[in-house]
Amino acid sequence: MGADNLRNDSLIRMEGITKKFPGVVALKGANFELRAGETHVLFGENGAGKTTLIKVLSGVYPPTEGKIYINNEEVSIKNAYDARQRGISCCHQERSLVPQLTVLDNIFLGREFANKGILNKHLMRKYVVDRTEKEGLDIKDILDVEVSNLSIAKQQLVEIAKAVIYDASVIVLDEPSASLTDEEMAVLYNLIERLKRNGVGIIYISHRIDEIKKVCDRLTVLRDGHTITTLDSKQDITEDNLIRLITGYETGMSYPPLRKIEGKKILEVVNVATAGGLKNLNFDIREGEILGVGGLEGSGKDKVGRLLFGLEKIVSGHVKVFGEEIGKASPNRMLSKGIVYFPADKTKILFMGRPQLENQSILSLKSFTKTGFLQKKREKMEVTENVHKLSIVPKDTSKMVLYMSGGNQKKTLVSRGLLKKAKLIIFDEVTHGIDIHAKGEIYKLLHELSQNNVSIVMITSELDELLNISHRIITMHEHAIFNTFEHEEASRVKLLNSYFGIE
Amino acid sequence: MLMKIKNANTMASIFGKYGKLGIQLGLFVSIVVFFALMNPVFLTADNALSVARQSTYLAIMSLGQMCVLIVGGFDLSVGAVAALVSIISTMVMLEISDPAVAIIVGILVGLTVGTIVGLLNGFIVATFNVSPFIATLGMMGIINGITLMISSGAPVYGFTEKFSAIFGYGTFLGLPSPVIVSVLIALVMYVLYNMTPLGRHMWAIGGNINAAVLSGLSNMKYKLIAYGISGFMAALTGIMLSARVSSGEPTLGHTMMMTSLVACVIGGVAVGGGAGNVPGALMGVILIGILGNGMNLMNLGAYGQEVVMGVFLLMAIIFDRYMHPGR
Repeated sequence: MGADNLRNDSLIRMEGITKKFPGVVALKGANFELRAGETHVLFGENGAGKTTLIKVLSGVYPPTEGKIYINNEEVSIKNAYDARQRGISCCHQERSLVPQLTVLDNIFLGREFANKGILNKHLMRKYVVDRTEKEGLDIKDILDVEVSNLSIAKQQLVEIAKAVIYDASVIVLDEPSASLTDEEMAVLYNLIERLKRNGVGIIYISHRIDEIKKVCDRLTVLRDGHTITTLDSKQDITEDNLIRLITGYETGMSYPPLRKIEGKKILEVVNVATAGGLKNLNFDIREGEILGVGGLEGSGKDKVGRLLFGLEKIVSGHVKVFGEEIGKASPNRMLSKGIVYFPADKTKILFMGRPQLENQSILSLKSFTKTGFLQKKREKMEVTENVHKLSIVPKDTSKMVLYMSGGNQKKTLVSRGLLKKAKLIIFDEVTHGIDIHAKGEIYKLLHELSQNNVSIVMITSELDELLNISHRIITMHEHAIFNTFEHEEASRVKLLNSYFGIE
Repeated sequence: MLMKIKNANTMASIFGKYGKLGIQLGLFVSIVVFFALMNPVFLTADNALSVARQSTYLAIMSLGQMCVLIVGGFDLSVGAVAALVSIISTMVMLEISDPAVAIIVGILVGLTVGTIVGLLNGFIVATFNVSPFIATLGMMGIINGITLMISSGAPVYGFTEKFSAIFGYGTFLGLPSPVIVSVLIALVMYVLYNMTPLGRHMWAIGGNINAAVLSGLSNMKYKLIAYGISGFMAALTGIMLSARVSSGEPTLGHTMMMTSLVACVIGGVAVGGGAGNVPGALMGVILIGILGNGMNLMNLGAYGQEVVMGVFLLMAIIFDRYMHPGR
């Protein structure tokens, strides 16, 4: 904090940033300021708007409303290239390196040193080595390696090196510790200190509180697309404080009361470990139960859903459905047992260009087929019945799903499960990307399903859903179950603590 | 980027509502009016019948092509398969003295060969997840080469006259036999796509392979079925055309690969899969038939016609972007 005179220079100011997507508002008038020479942490739950804010800043999305100032001058950032030209460098989790090119070629992509059209590799190499060595970054051994041969961690270092070489004035680090080793993190911390001394502003996104404490100068809390507060002093950055701040209640949502679940076990997971990294998994699901699965991004919670649908390779342990051990699990086998899975990404589960009717009945065509022919009348009748029961809009069952709202698309999936007469429905992010009204309707539907003895696994990053909809909650941390809570004993603080691996 | 998507969506919804039919009807009317003005013969009943007869071959091949397009593929080998089958069936018939046996065995062998090539295409595409465009292009090269090798590049003559009399020039209830065959095929395909789970599953595979697999559908199974049907149809086209020209021809149906694609795409079959149906594809076939016939009447040579077909394919593919926004 030696450069106090620099710290009041505002590098970036974002005012009243609103970003609307079809069916969802990701940012609602968020404010953010980055000063020269500081590390500013963005903190919030998954879906709080951190990533969207960064994408607005780096020119990936234009904001719906709001102003962006760079060096106190209002600008409009046209695209990612424009952002880069203005000195904003993002080291994303989704990397932007060309895998087939070498590290050196990647660093100079689009701004190669050339003499009369001939590349001057020697000069480029010398330049990179000089610049990175000065900053304590050691990449000279990998300059000629193809990026596809590098570990994720090394790739991230290359991204950072690129930002340094381009003289970026703003560097965004998105969860760097997710892929870097402790040793590499130490290098990164040193680099951050050096960059700060040169007046570079660093936006740092992380979920890890110990790491935040280490690097943070100031911290801005985002919740539900709003800026909750900015903590200006390091003393305020404590675990209790942070968890209290990202905890907030959504108002105006009423939840149906939960009944006691005493049905028989329909599915048991016994000591399962998977090739994808899940380990020591032990849990069961009872008839009619809504089991919430929570955790941070990367905690492995999405893999739990895939596991139950036979999409993860089991290396030890087993899954039992209705008491029967499933040997070779596959989607087909699980479907035949009445298990249905809807992943978080709707484009991976909906047939966007096909009518609503076909989207609803795809799993149950067998029951609509007699002597080889589809009974289209009966199919249409049952689909229409569901359209009314679930109040799906539009009522026209021949309408393409593409033209339906996010909420109605989710209802179409619910109907798909109903027509299949599913015993267990696995929803990953069931309310992802839909508005608050549609959320309420979906919750009511889940509740009704549960009352009709359909079990539900609800994988979600929304605390409210876990707390209010689930009979039981398991929280994932580092690909294992960290805690299990009964509905009555769960609280926001307890859930968040266990997300962060705190007992 | 989002703005672009939004624009495409509004464009798409306009096209989606009125587009498919509107574009087809508009094209249809303007082509008919154009040729009618250019040549009075165009609008006669005789000419209409000749358009119908010529279109039947393309119809059979295009319905096979449609199956492959619907599951998200391409079949560039159809023309080559038609030629190979024309040669093989002819050679088989030449080996058998009894005319009835010769015809039956010749047809069966031809259809089997075509179906096997189709299945092979499907197997390669599904197993190695390679671009169907390139895979079937390779197959096209192989098949063309084999055809030229076994025929030495020359037509094969001398199969039983009965074969041509029945399948080339025969009539049944006053209708030419090729017309009857193609109508039967069209009916079967219509039933398949509109009344059976199989059709639904093919649309699903092409519409969203991820979602289809999560719905328990096997990619391999439906790719095999689609490419198998396409190979079968190409073989049938080859057999019917051989009967018409009374010989096995090593270059038969070569231009039909492109025209079958044009017909399907103009007929609203989605490039990339997930949409398309029999009536649309047939409409596309008739459009191409009229176009070809009109160009003949205008004395536009084969080279010029190929240029026009290429232009139509490009136009059709551009419209396809807007007609099938769900992709």
